[in-house]
Amino acid sequence: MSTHDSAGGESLTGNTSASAPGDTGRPANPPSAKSPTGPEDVGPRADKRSERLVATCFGVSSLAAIAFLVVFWALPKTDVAYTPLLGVCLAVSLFGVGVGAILWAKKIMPDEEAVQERHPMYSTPEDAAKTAAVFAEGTEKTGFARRRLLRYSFLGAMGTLALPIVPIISDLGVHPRGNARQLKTSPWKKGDRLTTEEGAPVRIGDLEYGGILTVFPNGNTSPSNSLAPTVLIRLRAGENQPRPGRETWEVDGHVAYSAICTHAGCPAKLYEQQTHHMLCPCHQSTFLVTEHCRPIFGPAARPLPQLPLALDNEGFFVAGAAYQEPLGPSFWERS
Amino acid sequence: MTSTAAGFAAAGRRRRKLASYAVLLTALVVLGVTYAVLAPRGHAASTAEESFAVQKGRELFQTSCATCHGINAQGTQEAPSLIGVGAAAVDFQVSSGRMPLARPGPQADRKEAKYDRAQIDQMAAYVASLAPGPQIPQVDLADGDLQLGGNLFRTNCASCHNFAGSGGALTYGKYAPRLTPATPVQVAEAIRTGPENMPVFGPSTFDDHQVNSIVKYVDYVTRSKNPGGLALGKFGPVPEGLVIAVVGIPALLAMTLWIGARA
Repeated sequence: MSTHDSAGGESLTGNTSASAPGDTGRPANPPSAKSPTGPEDVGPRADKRSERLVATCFGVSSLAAIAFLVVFWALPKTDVAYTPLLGVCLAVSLFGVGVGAILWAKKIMPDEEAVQERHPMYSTPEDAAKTAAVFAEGTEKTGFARRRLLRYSFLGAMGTLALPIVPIISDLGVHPRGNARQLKTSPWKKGDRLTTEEGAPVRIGDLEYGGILTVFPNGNTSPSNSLAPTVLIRLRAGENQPRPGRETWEVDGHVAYSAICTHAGCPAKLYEQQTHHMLCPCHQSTFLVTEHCRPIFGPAARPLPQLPLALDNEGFFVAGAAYQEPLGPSFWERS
Repeated sequence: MTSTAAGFAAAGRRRRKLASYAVLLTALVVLGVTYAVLAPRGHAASTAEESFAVQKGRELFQTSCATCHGINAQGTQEAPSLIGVGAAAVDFQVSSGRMPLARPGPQADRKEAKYDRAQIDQMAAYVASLAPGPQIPQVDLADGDLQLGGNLFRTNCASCHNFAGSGGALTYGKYAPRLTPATPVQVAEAIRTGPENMPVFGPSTFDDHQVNSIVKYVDYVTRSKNPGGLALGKFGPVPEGLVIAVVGIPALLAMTLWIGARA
């Protein structure tokens, strides 16, 4: 009777896998699933075979490492195959060690499923009670709950300690109001000669129609002067449509604009001499050179700043004035 | 006595006058003969040759180019005027197969040249005869300075053509072409004439030594081997990162999963 009852109970739960208490829940590997070769990989002959296989892996690894050295010394470094061969040799060498180690573990070491029991994670009731008592005693002795003045002044001190973070954060960049002069000052001064990267001053007539040159102020190409690069472009007569008030900024069809994109500060120097598009390669901002470099496509919101041009008495191009607006990427206080 | 003396003096003056005429005449004859011997014959021959080339060039132009560029190369709504573009522009456009145009589009593509060298020279001679323009440049790679060329290329060319001459996109379907198929002369011609949307760099912007240097750098960088294996178009970190993300990391993941499944 009782046997029948228990059997019925088991069938009701529908638990057919009959898991024992303390099981990890992971079905144990059936012994036959260990390897497709089955019983063949037991026995002294199979063991010898596995040993040879693992040793072969390690041997291949050694050979590949030696091959690496041979390639390293024997092949000229300019050879097309030089670097790929080095990579292949190193890969085979490392792979051989890895495969050998795995095969060693799988074929030679005994296959037994080990289950490591976890110890209980919770503390004993005695420990918990003891800790609670320590806390209660501390609260009592410091008088944190009773002494309001101490409690609030302590919390206040912790709060005000966070305040110094605010100016530190604001100092991470250039301050928009106070310290913005470096954003607004131009690396060009009135009378600076336009020079090439090699430092040669540019004379009127040096550029053909549709020509472009990257120029720097008085040959200053230092990285600290990174906003200085400017492009000098020669347009054909009547092509330039200057902004009102800037009619005198061109010299005989020559115009000069900052090469630094007003969006994110990339060098926007991809000039198309027929369409007069000036493209920035980073985000495809496009500026129209004939219309004071106003943006016609892309994320840039402001025209490229224009450098007023003039000629000195030797016929060299000079800046007629400094840039009238901040160079480089937009910032929130930019006017 | 005085009269005879005066007579002798007058005769001497006459003789001296005659002698100066003779000297002048001899000088003129010598000059004329020298000129006749040296100058006109060569000149006449080259003019004839040139006019023959110009004539053949005009015939070629009128059959294949005039539809778009106008019967006198004056330009139409479809195509620019060719007056003053020079022989260099014609040689660049026709020898690189860009002209004649296959179909209208944002830009002429490089393709197989449709004319042979003699025909291209004839067309170039015809266009050059219309108005002065840049001649086909004489490229001397031995004169070039690789380092100077690299500096000039990176400052002035690499923003569009990429640091390794792999080209890149421009606006509205236009692009800066890859420089690998271009011959040294074509590179120099492009610098000098500014084909389509490329800016022009004339002799006072870059002298011949600087152009030779740029051409030498382009030749070096487009023909150099790739010691790193696959060049991936020499476009730099973008395709390289893509290959790492699409091929490399999935391969590692698959390997990890396989090891996990086998363990």
